[in-house]
Order: sequence, then structure tokens, then C-alpha cells
Amino acid sequence: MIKALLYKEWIKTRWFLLAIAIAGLLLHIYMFMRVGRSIRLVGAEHIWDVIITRNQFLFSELKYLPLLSGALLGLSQFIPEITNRRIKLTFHLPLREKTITTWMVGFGFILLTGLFLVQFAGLFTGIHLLFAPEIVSNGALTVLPWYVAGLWAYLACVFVAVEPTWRMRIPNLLISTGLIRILFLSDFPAAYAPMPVLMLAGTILFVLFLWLSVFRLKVGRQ
Amino acid sequence: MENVIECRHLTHYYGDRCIYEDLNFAIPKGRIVGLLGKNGTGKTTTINILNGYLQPKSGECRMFGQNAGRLSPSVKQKVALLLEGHVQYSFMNIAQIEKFYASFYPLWDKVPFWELMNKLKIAPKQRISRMSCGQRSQVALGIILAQNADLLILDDFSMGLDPGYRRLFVDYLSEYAHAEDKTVFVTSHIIQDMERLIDDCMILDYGKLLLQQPVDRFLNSFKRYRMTSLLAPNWKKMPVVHPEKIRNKMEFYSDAGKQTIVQNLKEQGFETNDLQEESLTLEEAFIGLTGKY
Repeated sequence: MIKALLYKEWIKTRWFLLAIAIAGLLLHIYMFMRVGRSIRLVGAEHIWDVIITRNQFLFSELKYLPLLSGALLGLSQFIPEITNRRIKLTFHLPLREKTITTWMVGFGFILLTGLFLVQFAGLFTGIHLLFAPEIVSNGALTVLPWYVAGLWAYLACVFVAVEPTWRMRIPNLLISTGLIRILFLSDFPAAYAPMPVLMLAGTILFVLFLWLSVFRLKVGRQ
Repeated sequence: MENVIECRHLTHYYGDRCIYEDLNFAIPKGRIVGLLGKNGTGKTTTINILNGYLQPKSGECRMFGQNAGRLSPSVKQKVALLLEGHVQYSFMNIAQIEKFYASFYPLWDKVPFWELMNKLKIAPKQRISRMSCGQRSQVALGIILAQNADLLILDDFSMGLDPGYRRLFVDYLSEYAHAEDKTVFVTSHIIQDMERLIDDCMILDYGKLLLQQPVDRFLNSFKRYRMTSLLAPNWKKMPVVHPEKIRNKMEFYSDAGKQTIVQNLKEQGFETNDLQEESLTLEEAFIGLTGKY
């Protein structure tokens, strides 16, 4: 039964996942081509100077890609469920509602995390080939909040979409936007390095929020 | 007879608006029961409560002995559900949806599903979202038949269907339910279709259940009466509903029988020579009982 449930999620999301993966791949190719060209044109010393003394991060085009990826995956998975209240069919499947929700959200969350890890690994293999280890770790800390924002965006889409009333969807959307905005307050490299607890707490908060929406849907809030 | 559904003292409000108060009913095993009511009387609300999508303000519904708000997977397996508008996973094609549902129901029988699909002459890879409303209704019907469930709950199955598809749906469902001894709980706006399908009718009015009984008993007892008279009798002293008098023509409905009506009218000094008793279709009886407004 779980396999069939995941099959349904796969049918809904497969083309969107492919689009997200291709967009990520193309963006990474573009970023490395651009940095490689800069190194050739102005020299590695100048690029190092830009990174170290001017605190510039050379891969900032990546900033909103995880956010958009998370939102797109969340919407592709849950918009079909709330359209015509199709989620009633899903909750009528002979499984506990908690099991259904956990597997559905788990499917998206794990796939998104997997995709982000591949992108993360690709980015850092590339940076590692070009720059010193200090710059690599600094870069990792710079992009981490962006990827966390992608996961939050996914969970926020579930939180907003599953909520049964528009009256509550709007505050839910505002709360989600406000929380995600926290992760984009500073462009300074590694600005969020001291805040992993905040990122973990935010993720847990979004998980609790989405369960609240599931509960409200289940009891038929109007 | 064993009851598949039991609702006791059910009360529900949307805000301050009372949908019903202290509603009690039971659906016996093996019966096809139609829930009839005007818009806003709580038909879909009842279906939502039964399937655990809505918590009533008070009272409870039980399906196969379990509280409807907390149905176990094994009870859900016994209940096939058709949502209003024949909603299904329209992002799937018919081969995918058959494969998907088959995994959830151990008694899944793909024969009726594919039999219906073959009648539609649609390709197995055609997405449900690209089908007409009538074709989608047949997909939804095929799925609930293939589930081989003990109880079928159908919310407004006739919505959006043209007469041909409505007839096909009713005939197929009726044949299946009687042959397999299934219990069916159904709502529909189109009462002519219900007359061909249901054994028992439940009629909801605003705030209460007016009636629950076999359709033939209801239609044998509930009649329309017409007569002419310049004066109207005191309706409050008569067992009638929704009396109307336009000029000298009177029309009213009653389940008391012609003899009782004649006796009542005579007691009030009315001549009853032209009193006519008329048998009704289910739709006419429904309008007679609930009123035109």
C-alpha cells in the first residue's frame, strides 16, 4: 500500500522533479563557466582578492533556486490534492491519516533533500577544485540557509495548501513568508554560521504547522 | 437486521446556522438507501461526517460499529466512496489508477472496471483529466465496483451527467448492488434517478429528518388530493401537508388515506364528491412533503 501511495506521489511530481533537477544542473554549469571565464580573464589572484578581502560569494545566482525548487515540488504534490478536495479520497485510503501524511510529506522532503545534497556535492566538488579549503567551508555555510529555505518552502506549501479555509491560508502564508525571509536577511558569506539551531527549530516548527493544517482538515474546519 | 451505519443524536451547525438537530437514523445491511433533501439541508454534511471529514457538534455516527471520525484501515477497506462530481485522481490514466487502487483492496476485482472502460472505448493511457464528465463518472463507478466493498457511499452521483450516463450509472449500480447484496447510501439532486435505484428513502428538511421508510410504502401511502371549493377548510385540523388554494382549486398532500381525509372534510361541512386522490412519483412526493420553496 505504501508503495502505491508513493507511486501516486511520483506520478504527480515526476515532471516537476525533472524540471527542478535540469534547472539546477544548468544553473551550476552556468555558474562554473562564468567563474572559470573570470579566472581566465582577470586572473586567479583577483578572484581570490574578491572572495577574501571583499567578502563576495561567487555563486550567489544559486540563492533562490532551492526556494523555488521546494515551492514547486510542494505545489505540484499538494495542489492536485486540494483541487476538488481530492485529499478526501487520499484520506479514505485504507491507511491511517497519520501514515498517509507522513509518507506523502516524507516522499517530497526526502526527494528534495536528496536533490539538494547532489547539488551541494556538485557545487563543492567544483569549488574545491578551484579554491582553498577555507573558502570551501565558508561557501558551504553561505549556501546552507538557502537550501534550508528550500526545505522550509516545501513544508510551507504543505502547511498552506492543506489548510482547509482561505481565512487561515492567508495568515499561514504570511507566517511562512516571514519565517523564510529570516534566511535571506543577510548576503554576507557565512552570516548564518552560528544559527544551525534556528534552522533546525524552524524546520520542526514547519512540521508542527503542517500537522495543524492536517488536523484542521480532518475535523472539517470551515 | 444488522445496521451498517448508525447515527445517533447528530447535531451540526455551520456558525449559527443549524443544519440539523438530534438526527437519528440507521442503514441496514443490504439496502439501497437514498438521502433526499433540498440544497443546504445537510446531505453532503452527513456524508462528510460519515467519512470522518467533519466532526459533528454533538452526537456520533458509527460505520461497521466504529466511530466515523476514527475509522480503522480495515473498515475503510469495506467502504467505497464516490465524491460529489466524480472526483478522482485526474492526473492518472485509467491503467495507472487501476494499478494504484488494486494495491489497497484485497478483494479488488478488475473485471467490472475494465468492462466499463471498454464500453467507453478510451485508451488505457488517456489521462482522466482529458475525459468528459460522463466518462469520468464511469471511471469513478468502475473503481467503486472493483473495490468489492460492503458499503458504497455515493455523494450526488448524478451531478454533471447527461441523461444517458445517468441511466447507465443507475442501471449498472442497481444491478451490481442487488446481485452482490451490497449496502448503498446515496444522495442525488435528481430524484427520478433515485426512484429506479433505491429501496428506502430518507428525506431531510431544514434541521430535521422528515421520513425514513421503503420507497414503495411511502408512495403507497403518501398521496396528492385535489378538490374544488370556494372556502378552505381549517387545515390545522387535518393531517395534511403543504395545502394550497388557488381561486377555487385546492391541492394538498397526506399519508392518512382517502377515508380519513373525507371524514375530516365532512366534519368541517365540506362536500367531497369531487375529491381526487392521485398517486405520485418519488419526485412529486418529495416536493409534496418538503414543499416547493
